[in-house]
Order: sequence, then C-alpha cells, then structure tokens
Amino acid sequence: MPVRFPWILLLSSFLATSCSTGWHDEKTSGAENADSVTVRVELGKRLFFDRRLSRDLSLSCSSCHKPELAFTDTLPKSKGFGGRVFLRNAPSLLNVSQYRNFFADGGAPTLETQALQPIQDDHEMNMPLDQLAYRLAKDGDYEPLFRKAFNRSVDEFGITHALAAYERSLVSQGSIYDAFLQSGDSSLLSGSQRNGLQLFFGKAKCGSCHNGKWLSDLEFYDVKTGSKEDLGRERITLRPADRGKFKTPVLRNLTLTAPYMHDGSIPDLTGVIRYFNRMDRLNLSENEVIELRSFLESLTDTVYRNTPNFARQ
Amino acid sequence: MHYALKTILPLLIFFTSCSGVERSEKGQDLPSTVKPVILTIKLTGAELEQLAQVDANNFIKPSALRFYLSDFAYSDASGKFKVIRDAYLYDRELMGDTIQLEIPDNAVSIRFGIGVPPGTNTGDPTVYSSKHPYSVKGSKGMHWGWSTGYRFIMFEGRRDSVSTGNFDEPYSFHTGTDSLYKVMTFALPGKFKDINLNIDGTKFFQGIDLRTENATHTVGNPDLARRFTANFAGAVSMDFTTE
Repeated sequence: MPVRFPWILLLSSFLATSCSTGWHDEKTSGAENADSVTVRVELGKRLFFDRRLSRDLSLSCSSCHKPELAFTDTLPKSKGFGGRVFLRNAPSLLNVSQYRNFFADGGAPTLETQALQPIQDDHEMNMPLDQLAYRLAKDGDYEPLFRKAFNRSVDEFGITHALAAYERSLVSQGSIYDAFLQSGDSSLLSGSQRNGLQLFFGKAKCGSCHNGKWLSDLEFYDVKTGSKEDLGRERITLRPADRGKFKTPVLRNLTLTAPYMHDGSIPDLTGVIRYFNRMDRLNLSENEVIELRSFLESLTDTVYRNTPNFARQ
Repeated sequence: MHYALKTILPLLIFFTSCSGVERSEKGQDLPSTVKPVILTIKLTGAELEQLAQVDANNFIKPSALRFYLSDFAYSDASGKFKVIRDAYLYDRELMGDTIQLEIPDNAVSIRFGIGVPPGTNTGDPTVYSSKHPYSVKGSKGMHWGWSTGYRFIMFEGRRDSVSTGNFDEPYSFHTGTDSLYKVMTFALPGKFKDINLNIDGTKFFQGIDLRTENATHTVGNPDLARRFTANFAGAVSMDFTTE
C-alpha cells in the first residue's frame, strides 16, 4: 500500500511559517477609502507606462517591468538611461504589497521610497524628482488627476504615492499552487508536481528559505552567485558579514521571469536547480530535478493578465 | 443675565489660560521662561574656496560643505529631553549659519544629532514641504536619490597633490546610513545669551591620508566614512555668550 503524503500537515506548516516571517498584510492607510485608492491606482498606472519619467523620454517603468512577463524583462540586467546597465536583474512586481522591504538588498522600507530610486538613479531613468514634477505639471491632463487623487498639484509626493498605489494593486494568486493552498486538494497538482513539492520542502531543502505563502522568508543570504562588486545587503548595513547577501526571491510566476538570480546569471530554471544541487550537495537525480521543476511551474499564474490593472496603458 | 454669565465665563477662562502659554514648533506647551537663543555655527579651517592646511604636507581648498543637524532638544534637571527643532541643513551660501531655538531658563543641556535620525533617514522625503531640509528639493541634493536615505555630511574640494599650489586632485566625502548618525550632548551654563557651535575643519582629516583616501560615498568604503564622521563629531565644540 502506497504511503500517502500528509498534505494537510504540509499546508499547516506553510501557513505557520507564513505567519511568523513578518509578511505584511495587504494594506491601505486607514484614511483611504476604496474610491481614493482606485483613483490613485489609475494615476499610478498612467505614470507607470509614461516615458516622460525618464530624462531622455526613452524609458517608462514598464520598459523593465513588462506586465506580460510578470513585470520583469528578459535581460540578465536591464538597460537604463543611455544604455547603461543596471546593477541587478529586474524583479517581478507581482504581490509586492506583501513585502516588508524592497530591492534585493532590502534598501527601501516602503514602496513609496522604492519609487524614488529608479526614477532618479543615473543608471536607470536619471530624472530628478522635482524636475519630473515640473515636466508633468506642464501636461494639463495630469493636474486634475493629481487633484482628484491627492487633492494637491502635481508633485513628488503624488508621483511616488500613485506609483506605490499601482504597484500594491498588482496581485497574482491564480496559480495551480494557489488553488491547492486554498482548497487543500492535492489532486490539482500533477503527480510530478506533487513529487516536486515534497522534494521542495524535503530533500532539496528549498523550503528552508523559500517558505510561507509566497515562498520567501525575505531574509538575506549569500548563495555565491555573481561577483563581489555588488555588495548586496552590506550596501545597507555596512557590515562586511552581509557582503554578497541578497533577499530570498519570491518564486511566484517563475516561468515568466527568466533569467534568474539577483544578477540574472542563470538563464533557465533547470539551471538554477542544478546550481543548488551542486552547491548544496543535494544529490538530486535527473528525474528529481525534472519533478522539482514541474512543481515550480505550478507557481505560474495564468489568469493575472486578464485583470484590467495588468493591461498595458 | 445669568445665561450670559454661564456662556461668557467659560470662554473668558479659556482665552485667559491660552494667552499665558507659549508653544514650540511642535505645539507642545513650554514653560513661560522660554527665551529665544541664537545658535551660530562657526566654521574654521574649512571655509569654502579658502586655503586650509590638513597636515604638514597637505593643503586643500574646500568647494562644498553641507551637513544636517537634527532633533535639537533640551533637557531640564529631570534629564528628560524635549525636541524643539527637527532639522537644519548647513549650507552657508544658501541657508546662512544661524539657528533660532527656544530654550527655557531651567534647561541644563542641549542635544542634537549630526545627520538624519534613523527612521527619518529611510523615510519618505516627499511628505515634507519643498522648503523643509528633508524634502527632495529642500535637501539640496543631500537625499541620495539613487539610494534610500540622506547624505549626512558632504565635504568636497581639491587638494594640492604635489605642493605646487595647483589644486589638481579632488576629494569627496559623502557620509550617510543610520549607523553613522551621531548624537551630541552639551551642558548648558546657568546663564547665557546665545550659543556658538564651533566646528574646527582642521580636524576633519586627522588620521586620513588624502593621497590614498580621498573619496567615500559610505557604501563601498564605510571604514573611511566612519573615520571621517568621527573626526567631524570630534571637531564640534560649544561655547556661550553672556548677557
């Protein structure tokens, strides 16, 4: 008689871990009502796709965060102002409302402060925020939108807060794995995916860092990829012990977000599994690598793009 | 008549009680003995475009010096501090070098930070009005922009690298991040009129060899940023003018 895997215990452990790792609840300020959030999201979406956010009018946020690719691009490191190469691989923006800090080094505590950096960084959009506000204020269309959303003229506050509102709206929970989590029905996963799930939290040890509902503990680790030129978490803490440490990435929609790792150095998902198989001496067989990959594929949400928020402007 | 008294009397008491109370910028009640005090920043040895000697072999000409002083607070004998001003950005060209504070007669010490306090440092600069030193515009380039937080101290200029009088080598010290925030506390004398905050620029580079250590943006060279920050804090002293 085959041994049945205790799915209910596994589900309980996901949720327990999820509660203890400090993920944020989806949040809006108590002072905000649903209408004002909607108006801000609409304004944020318009800004997100507006190339005027870059100094030379060549880039919008969506240049590197493409909706159809789970808000990533296909490059190891994106290209910014004047073709300058970014420091890191573009992360997905799906479910960022759940994060407690932003960037691979955790350097921004809120989405609003996160929005400041790509706009102003001279490797990215290279646009000083006060100059951007001046530029957008000249567009008569924006003024009433800012008034409606924030009861103020076009300014730095409205720009970053509208972008943050839009990013908070980017929720994706339509994967097979989500359906399994919600129902507890393991038959939603294929046999290969079920085996991969067991490997994920068992022999392959992925679950020691990739845990909780979103499959990340949001802690920082050095997994020995990339050069030491990128200081990682040390950039924020100034502690040498944090050199080369990066935040555990969320694994949702992985099949859409290649290439992988903070520096985009591994081009495909199987390569990532093989990398950890070698580094951590997991001794996974080739079949187990395939099953693990099969499980990771179940994390892809095939319905999020049908939501109006995700459509290109 | 009785009705009128019942209405007017409470209002009269209310307005009388309000008129005797002074309020700080943060709206807290202050003792009635509060007096305005001018704090003047007196910088020596690092004036802009003036020749300064760092050590026996090194001369510099500073071109920019900006730094934040934050959370000015005084304490009374109980040791409890009360914040009276949140932020000041030193930029002599743009902002002048005096700060007006309101300090009561019974204050025994004054405290402030060099830099931007943790929490505020990584907070949202867009929530401040454009004239506030922490706003994107009011920070005069002290908000990193490409990274979260503010430069706490920015000191730039040129060095005469070969003692020929040609100031041909730049130096640039930009310090920041929470761990470099320095809190300074000074005792206040019993009676004083105003405060001089003296900053001795000749101490900025003590133990720093500008030939090999001429730049830090903190990230990438935090040790140099730490030493420069410690030197800057060590260069600060306070004295007082009397009536």
